[in-house]
Amino acid sequence: MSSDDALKRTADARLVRDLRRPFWSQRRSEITWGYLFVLPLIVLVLVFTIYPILGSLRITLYNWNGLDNPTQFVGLRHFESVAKDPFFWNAFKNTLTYTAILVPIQLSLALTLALILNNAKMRFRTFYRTVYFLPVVTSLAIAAIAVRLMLGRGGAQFSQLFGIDPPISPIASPQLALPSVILFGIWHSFGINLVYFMAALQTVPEELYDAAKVDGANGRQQLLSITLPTIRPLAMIILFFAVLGSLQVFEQSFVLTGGGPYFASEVVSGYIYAYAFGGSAVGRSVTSANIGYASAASLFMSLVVLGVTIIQAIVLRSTRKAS
Amino acid sequence: MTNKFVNRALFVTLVVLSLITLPGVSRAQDKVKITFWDWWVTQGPAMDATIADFMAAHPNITVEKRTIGGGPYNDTINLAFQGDSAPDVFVVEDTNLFKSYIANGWVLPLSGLPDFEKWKATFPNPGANFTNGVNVIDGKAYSAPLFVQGPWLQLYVNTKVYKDAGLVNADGSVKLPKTLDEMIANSRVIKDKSGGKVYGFGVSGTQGWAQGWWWWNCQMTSHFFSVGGLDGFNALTGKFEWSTNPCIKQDAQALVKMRDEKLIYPDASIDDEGARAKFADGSFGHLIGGSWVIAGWSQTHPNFKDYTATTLPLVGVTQPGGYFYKTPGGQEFAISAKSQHPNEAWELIKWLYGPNMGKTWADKGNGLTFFTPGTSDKYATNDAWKSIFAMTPLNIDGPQPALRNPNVSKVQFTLNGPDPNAVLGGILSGQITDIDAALKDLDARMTTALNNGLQDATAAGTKVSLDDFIFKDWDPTKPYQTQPTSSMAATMAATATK
Repeated sequence: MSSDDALKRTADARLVRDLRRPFWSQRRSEITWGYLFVLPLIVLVLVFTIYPILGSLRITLYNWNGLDNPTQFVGLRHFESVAKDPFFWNAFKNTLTYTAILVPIQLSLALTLALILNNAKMRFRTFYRTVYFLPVVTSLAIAAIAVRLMLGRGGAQFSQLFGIDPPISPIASPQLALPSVILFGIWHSFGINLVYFMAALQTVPEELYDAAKVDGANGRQQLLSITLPTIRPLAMIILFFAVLGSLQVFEQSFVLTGGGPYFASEVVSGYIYAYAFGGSAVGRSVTSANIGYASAASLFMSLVVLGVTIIQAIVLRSTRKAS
Repeated sequence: MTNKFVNRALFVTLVVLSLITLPGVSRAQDKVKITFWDWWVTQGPAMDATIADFMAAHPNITVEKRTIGGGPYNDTINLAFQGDSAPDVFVVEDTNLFKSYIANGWVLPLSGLPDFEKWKATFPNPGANFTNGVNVIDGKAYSAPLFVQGPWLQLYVNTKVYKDAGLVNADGSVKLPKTLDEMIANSRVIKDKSGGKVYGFGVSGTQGWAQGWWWWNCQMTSHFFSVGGLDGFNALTGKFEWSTNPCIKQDAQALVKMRDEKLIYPDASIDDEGARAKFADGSFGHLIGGSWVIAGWSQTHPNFKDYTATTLPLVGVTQPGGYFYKTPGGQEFAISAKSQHPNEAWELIKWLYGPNMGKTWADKGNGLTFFTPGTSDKYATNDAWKSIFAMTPLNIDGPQPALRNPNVSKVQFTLNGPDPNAVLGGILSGQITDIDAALKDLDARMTTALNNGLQDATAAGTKVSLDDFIFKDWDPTKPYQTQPTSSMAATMAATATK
């Protein structure tokens, strides 16, 4: 008897034994293992996400500088102040603008490049992938400082590059500061979406293209009828992450422009940071740290993000059903 | 026989070597490492030299210095205390936060340490420099002031730019401006004579705190920043006066005029450091800053000597209507209550408040400490330092609400919307065009913030009111001694009796 036969016999015996076990027992075992595998993540989420959220719920009702015990109860006044503060809504508008412009441009660019780089016959494919992915592994803050130095200090380097005379500095311009932040955001993180799309493209069965070719479909028809519909569920998840990530934008604005000039590029996370830490935070240097107020603003924004998440989840589910 | 001899010789050698080495190991183990945190970047060389001298004089103590520049310093210190990783010795940056640290039991009282009274006696006027409610809480001293203070801001003038523009007196000295009108007039001359290549004034376009220094033109004009922590609050009237003090509006309008006449260096992307560099390069003639800029130039532009300092320009008047104001007492260095090596930390504190640091600090161009040996003339190495030392009498004691009622530190001042510095940035960038409306809005928001803070503190059982911020008997032209309230005086007397 060969070793292959012995292995086969062992596997058969295991299968028979599993089949003989009651269904509920087998199912329970699977469920137990499932819970065991997700347990570490659940613990992490409970400790680092749920607990802080619940903790900050109480803090929203107090003045708190983060040092002494919160004793000054203010009720819902922080929420009222946030809702009435035009600078919160300015930051909110900037965050939405950032998301609305960055996401479509970045995803279109990432998908286009993924389609190009997915061509197995393309030369230097790995090199291009590496180049496009490089910004992702670069520290966001460090990259932002480098870009700030290029665009700042008179914008001499930037202006020379584009032949602009006299030199202008986009990050110091009320009109160009937010677009600069958006462009930087697109550059820095589109590589990760490129990789996601390339992974999604790998899931499209090659047989579908072969069959389409036999039927005489051209490249455009293959793209519209095979590639895009097949990757649609994964594309929705990529979109979902891109929107959520953009709504939480912080470092891009904080490091590059400091939210300025005069709040022209301030985003909600920067607004929350300014109130949470006070001190010399952008534009609010006489404001002492008030984590209660910052928590109220944070919760307010979280509800907005939650709303977006629910809508996206509904869309995602319907897309899955459709496909 | 030979092997036996070699083995014995090896054994003896090892034993002897061990005996020689062991005391060394013991000495190394006795060496204590303490940590020191500050936020002084420009003053770094002076602090490094001071600490190196300290370690040379105390071979059993190693000091590990960490500098956390800019905004994150207080956040880092707060987190370090909460995470039990606070430094042994640290620089106090924020007076109100320091009081919270003391309330939380995070700061070691210096009073109980060996030779404290002897050390205290080395200070000039110890009665004023150790003040209840400031650095002495419940009869215990937690820190002490160190630096000889004049006005913390000055107007720097590039003398080469002035001379090139012909702005010189008959004796060859430059025509320093005393008023804002004179500064603007000089700026026009600079621009005209240079064919538009050199500007009158330069400021950071990105850092609100540096832009906000422009408001301080109103300090000596009309004692505008009188009460610590409440910018623009008039301690005589109990009101914020951003929109009603005529100096502020004139100051803002002058800035707009200079911008529109293209007298301001046009690069809005430079930070304060960049503005200093451009000033040293001769790109513009005037810059507002503190004495730290001199130490900065000695590092970045060691050959730059063509500058001097004068008082900030008066706005709309020719005679000062106020001074810069300081608080008696003060804080500079403190020891963590959680320090494992309080005695070594205390040695460092004594060194910092001593002649070595005083000399190093002055030699490196950072000004004087109480303990700098010799007279200020010795350290007045250029015209700017001579002017700054001469300005020391312009910084006098002003009213201090915390001395009268320490509970004022419980008033949380949360200002919604832009602060005064940001408003100035908005005016400078042209994003704010209606100055009157912006200043009225600022007054309204600051009043609301103070009222809310008072209301919240009172609701939480703290005895504090708006009256604690008002000093009707204050004459802004004379030093003012804040008297504690009767209840606080009784508490202080009881503490002293104990």
